[in-house]
Amino acid sequence: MSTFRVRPARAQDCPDILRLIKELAAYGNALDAVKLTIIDLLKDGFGDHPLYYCLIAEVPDEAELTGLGIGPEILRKLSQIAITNGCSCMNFLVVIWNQTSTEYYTRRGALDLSSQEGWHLFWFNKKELLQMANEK
Amino acid sequence: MAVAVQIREAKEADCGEIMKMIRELAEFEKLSDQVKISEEVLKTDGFGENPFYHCLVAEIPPEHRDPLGSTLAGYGLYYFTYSTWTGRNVYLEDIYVMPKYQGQGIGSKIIKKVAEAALERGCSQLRLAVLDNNRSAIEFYKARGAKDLTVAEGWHFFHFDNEAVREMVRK
Repeated sequence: MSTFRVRPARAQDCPDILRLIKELAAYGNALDAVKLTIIDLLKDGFGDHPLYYCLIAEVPDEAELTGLGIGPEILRKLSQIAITNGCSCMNFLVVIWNQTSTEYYTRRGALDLSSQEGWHLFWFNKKELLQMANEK
Repeated sequence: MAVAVQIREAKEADCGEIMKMIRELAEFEKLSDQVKISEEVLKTDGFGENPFYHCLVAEIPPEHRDPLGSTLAGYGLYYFTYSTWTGRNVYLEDIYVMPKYQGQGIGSKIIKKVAEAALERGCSQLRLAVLDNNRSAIEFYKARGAKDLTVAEGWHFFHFDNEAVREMVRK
């Protein structure tokens, strides 16, 4: 039986992190959207002032990876970190066209605030930011 | 008559007025009972060693202030997030102008400063949340080129509240 370990990421994990980011993006048909490089991940996550934190699920070999409870363990560790750091809740974004993801989270008690309260995610790209910054 | 406000970074002393405006905005959104923080929390989280947010305020020039009224006409509160696709981003949590000062371009001035701050820090995106019944806000953002990703790509805001977070630790 394979065992796994969820631990904080280290600088050496960055190539694997980028690989997994791209796999996730490809799953959502958005592989071209990933502009980040390994250097970006290193600089942003392992410099003097980290811009992000990352947990990694490490497995000893390439055994069967689903059904081991890795997802719930990552969520459990994230929840512990949230509580330890005085956070009251966790917010995140889900593409609801993906029913599997949606059910995964709602089964664990997550609420869809967009459906419940009407929140929409709006975004400005660099082009619009430049236009706003250059406005008189 | 348009008031020549000055958009500047918030100071710790502004937290009382910012807290008042946070409550006004929540009331406008009909979500008043969701405001759990206090002026003290705002001070600690914004002006401690590790600020969790940045805030811009629209200061009313002294000659236009009501004697017992506010010194601030509005605020824009934002923080930096991280996208695994594009890196550092800005998330605009709140932008608010008091009703009596609306319609004078103060909101535009605030968001312009937020855009400048975003670009200065090498951010490629600015994200925010809008309520689907807030027509004026939707128009404000769309007029500046914002895209509704909930409609376009199905992105929804999900939330584990405190009880759900504790439950996941117990399991």
